[in-house]
Parts: sequence; C-alpha cells; structure tokens
Amino acid sequence: MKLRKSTKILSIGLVALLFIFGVYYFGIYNSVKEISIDCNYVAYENTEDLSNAADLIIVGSTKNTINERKNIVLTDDNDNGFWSQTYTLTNIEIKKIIKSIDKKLDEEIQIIEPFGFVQEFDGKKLIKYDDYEPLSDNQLYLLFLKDNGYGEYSIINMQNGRFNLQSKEPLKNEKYKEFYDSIIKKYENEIKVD
Amino acid sequence: MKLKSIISMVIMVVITLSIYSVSYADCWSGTTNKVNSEGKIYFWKDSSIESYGYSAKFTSAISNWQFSVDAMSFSNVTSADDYTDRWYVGDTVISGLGGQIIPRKKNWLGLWVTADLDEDWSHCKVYVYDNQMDYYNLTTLERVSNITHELGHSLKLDHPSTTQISVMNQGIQDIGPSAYDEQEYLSKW
Repeated sequence: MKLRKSTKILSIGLVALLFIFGVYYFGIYNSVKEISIDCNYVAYENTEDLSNAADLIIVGSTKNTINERKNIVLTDDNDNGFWSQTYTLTNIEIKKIIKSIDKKLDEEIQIIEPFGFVQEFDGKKLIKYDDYEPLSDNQLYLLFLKDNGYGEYSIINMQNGRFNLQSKEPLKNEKYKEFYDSIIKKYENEIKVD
Repeated sequence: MKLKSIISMVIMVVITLSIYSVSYADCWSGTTNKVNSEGKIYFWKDSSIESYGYSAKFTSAISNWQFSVDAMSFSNVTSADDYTDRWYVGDTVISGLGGQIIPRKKNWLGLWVTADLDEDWSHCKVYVYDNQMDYYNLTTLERVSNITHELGHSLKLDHPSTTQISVMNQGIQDIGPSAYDEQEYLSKW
C-alpha cells in the first residue's frame, strides 16, 4: 500500500516536471523576441553619397531562407560567454551588377547582414542593429555593399542600404520611405531585370 | 461649477502629460547603473581600451558629459559588480559600425539577459570598433565623438527624433554634447 502511494506521488511529480519543462522549452526557450540594438555607424543621408561609398551595387535575390543562413555570435572571453556581437552570412544570387570595384565576381556571393539570433535563458533574441530588417526569403533587392576590410562584403547604411524591389516591406518611418523612393527613382533603369 | 472644475482638471492633466512626454522625447525610459540611488555612473574598463590605445580618448569622452555641476559623475572601478557599466574596444566585420551598446538586466533566475531599451537596466556594455574607425579614416576628434555618442546611449539618451545639433545624431561627427544634449540629459536625470 505504502509503495503504491509513493509510486503514485513519484509519477505525478515526474509528469509535473515534464509538463513544466515542456512549457518552458516550447513556450519560453524557443520564443523569439526582437531587440533593436542602438549603434553608431557611418551613415549616408542621400543617394549620391551612398552610391559613391558603395564598393558593390547589385540587384540580387536571397538564396537561403532566414533559418538556413549562417548565424554568427561572438562572445566576451571574460563574461561567461555572454554575447558581444552577432551578424548573419546571407547568400545572394547576383542578377545584375550596377557598380563593382571587383572585376571577378561569382554569380553567387555571401554578404554580411547586421542582425543575428542570440539564445538566452528567457528565449531567442532577434538582435537587429539600428532596427535593421533582415532580407526576406526569395526576394529581389537592390543592395549597397562595401568591403569590410577583410575582403568580405557587408551591407552599408543599415536599413537604408537594402531595398526590396518585389514587395512592399513595412517601411518603419518617413525617413526610410523618402530614402526608398529616391533610390528607386535614381536607379529605375538599372533595376530592371529580365 | 462642477463641470467647469472637471474640464479644468482634464486640461491640467493633458498639459502635464504633454510636458512629460516632450521632456523625455529623445530618452529611453527606465533607470540604469546607480544613477537613481547614488547619482553616479560606475564603469569598468576592459584591458582592450589600453591595448588599443584609447585611454585618453575615453577620458575625453567622460569629460564631455561632465558639462555642469549637475552632470553625472563617472566613477572608475577595478572590479565590476551588477551595477557597473563595462567598456570595451574591439573589431567588427560589420562595415561602418563605429560602436554599439548592449543593455543588460537579470531575469527572475538571476541570469543575465539582454534588456529592452525602455526597461530598467542593471548596466550597459559599451563597445567601440577600432578597425572600422581605421578603415573609414576617422580622426581622433571623430573617435572621441563616437565614444561620447556611445556613452550617451549608456546614459539612456536616444538619437534625436527631430533635427538638432546633437552628439547623439546618427553618423560620424567631431562634436561633443550640445545645448540640446545637455537639456535632454538634465530632463532625464
């Protein structure tokens, strides 16, 4: 009788523990929360300056989904592995080259986007530098890129360095909208792709 | 009479709320470090500040934020506790990125997590990126301005939402805090 009672209590306890773990794992650990990190960067306020600064201006489409892209998280050695930087490597199929300082370019290149996912105890954090919006899956973009000093291409000017040519992404504020309109106007002939 | 009193009260509340929201237009809400309890910002400098040759630049940036007797006092500590900002210099692969902050708080289990900008922070981690400042040929004055900008973020100052002369403007500048920055800082703290 006693044994059966203790077994019952143990089983209930185990089920309760599994339930709590399940709620935590699926409800909290795997939840995604967006966090915009404030940063200071070399910003271009007009289309002319942006165009002159870019090493590579292309029309291209994203080749891998946001979950397939390589997510890089750097940590501080003396801070128990807490993150210090994050970024994402995204594959782009080049449809058209508008400007390039590089004579040899493959049809597909890898670029750096200023966002990344960081796993913390209370969930996954989608870290966006200055509210940068990740390139959407399988979309066509006009991209302004620059060599980062390591021979890799990185998007410049954050949100105002990538422009969706296929669908209207939610434009966060008037400043982005104005920039988008003026960029599309400046490159309206070049962005036409067969 | 009663209706007049009610209308007057409503107008007073609306005016008060308007003033409150205007005062905090370009600051994040919430507290950080030991500002509320001691009126100080405690900071710990990583060894990278010296190894990258930025000690004097950080000293200048601190001086920039001590523009009046009412300004925050910065206090350097040799060992960081929960309410100590951490300052670093490093490198990044993100082209043009001069600096960033990571605000932190402890969750209910006592573990560090990234905080939202408008939450109460335990402290802030401040980073400036030497390799990008080199790559874009920033002058010493521009680097000090960049550090001043990031320290401004650690004091919960946001980028201006209207056109202003401000060290908190996005981009590379060679200025320190302006009259506008001082006004925002004093209205916040």
